[in-house]
Amino acid sequence: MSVRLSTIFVVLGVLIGLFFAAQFRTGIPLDGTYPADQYQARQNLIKDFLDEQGVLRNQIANLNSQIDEQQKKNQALLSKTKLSYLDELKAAAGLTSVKGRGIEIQLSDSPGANRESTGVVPEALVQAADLRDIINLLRTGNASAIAINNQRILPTTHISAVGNSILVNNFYVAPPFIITAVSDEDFLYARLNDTTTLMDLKKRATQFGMPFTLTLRSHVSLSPYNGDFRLKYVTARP
Amino acid sequence: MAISASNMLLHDLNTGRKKMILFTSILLGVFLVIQSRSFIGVTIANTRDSASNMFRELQVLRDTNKSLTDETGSLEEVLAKSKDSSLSLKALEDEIHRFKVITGGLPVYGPGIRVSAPVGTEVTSLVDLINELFNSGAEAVSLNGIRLTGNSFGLDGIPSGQILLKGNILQPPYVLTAIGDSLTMENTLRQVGGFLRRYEKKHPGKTLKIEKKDRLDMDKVD
Repeated sequence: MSVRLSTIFVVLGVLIGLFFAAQFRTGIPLDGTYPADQYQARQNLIKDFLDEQGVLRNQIANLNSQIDEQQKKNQALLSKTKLSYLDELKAAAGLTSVKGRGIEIQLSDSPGANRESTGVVPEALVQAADLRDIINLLRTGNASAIAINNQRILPTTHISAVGNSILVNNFYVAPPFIITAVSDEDFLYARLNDTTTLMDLKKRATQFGMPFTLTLRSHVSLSPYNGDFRLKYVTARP
Repeated sequence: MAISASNMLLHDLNTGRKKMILFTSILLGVFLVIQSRSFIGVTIANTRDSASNMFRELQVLRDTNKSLTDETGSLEEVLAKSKDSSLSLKALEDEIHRFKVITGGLPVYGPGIRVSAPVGTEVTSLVDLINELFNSGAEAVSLNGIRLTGNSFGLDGIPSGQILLKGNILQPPYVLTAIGDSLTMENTLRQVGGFLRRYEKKHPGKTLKIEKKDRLDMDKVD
């Protein structure tokens, strides 16, 4: 009896030890599990970076406007054809505001789901992947311009998740997400309503009551891109 | 009498042991539940995106602000040149050249990586892979030789299981070429919890071929 009990204790002890080790080695990446002071420090640092980012983006927008104005003033010196060509290129690069008929998609987390909470069910939140899928769908409909919460979407735009936060062009966006596109709105409306598209998102929206609406708009207006262009490694071939 | 006392002592001892076993078993059960919930949480959170990391978050913001500062500097330079009548024409031509490179109006080259995804790769995986490449610093990306520019490069799955891009049916393997910092791009894809691991989990038995290249060429967009 004593030997059996000892054996049981040894086995249980080893198992508990293994579970302890597994538990502490599991890197659960959840916000809010940090000690309060570390969490606060993180929030402060992020706020500082975001404040700086806002200032820099405003500066970029202002500089782009000043360059445009200066080039218009130089029209007498510069070729009109070249100026007009540059305008076309800038429009193609997303540096001009775009207006027109289009579509507006509103998407948000399930009511009551708190992104900062550790216990939140991930499926009840809008994921970066959901936004990527919507943008991909809008692109298949040849949308001429797209924005998420007024952040212009470029070909190089990446939509990523950092914890439960979502970054578009490395800029924080928060729910509700308003996705605007200038395009053939009827075609896009039909594509978005097609039961074979965005199946996972639609299923979760129904299951968790996530607001998800599509609206045709006779007029939408998108601001110019106000971020950076990276050209460190790419070179034009002669 | 002595035997009876001994039996009682043994009985008490056994009851104590039983209680300990019961307590230990409950404890073990609690750990099992906590651990399994941890794994479920990780699985859900990492299905299509990388795991959260406080340092990564701060690094992204810091790098972004540095890049925005660089952009500000370069725009200030363009503005200064535009204000100088002797340099304004050159500034205009430089701007045209820069935006032609950005919008795909010129053939380009540079170092980078080539990633091949086999037949059976899902549209969402390619969407995520393209996103991951731009996220890790790709400056230009092409898929099966088609440079991804403008907003018309949506990927569409068709009933035959094939993938459509700009009206072209793509033939597998799906080859993505990305010009940028090859080491950073490769490391990002290969990192623990990174795209490659998630891809392999989603497509059992399949993997991506990732090759670093000193030079990759891309044609201009028609």
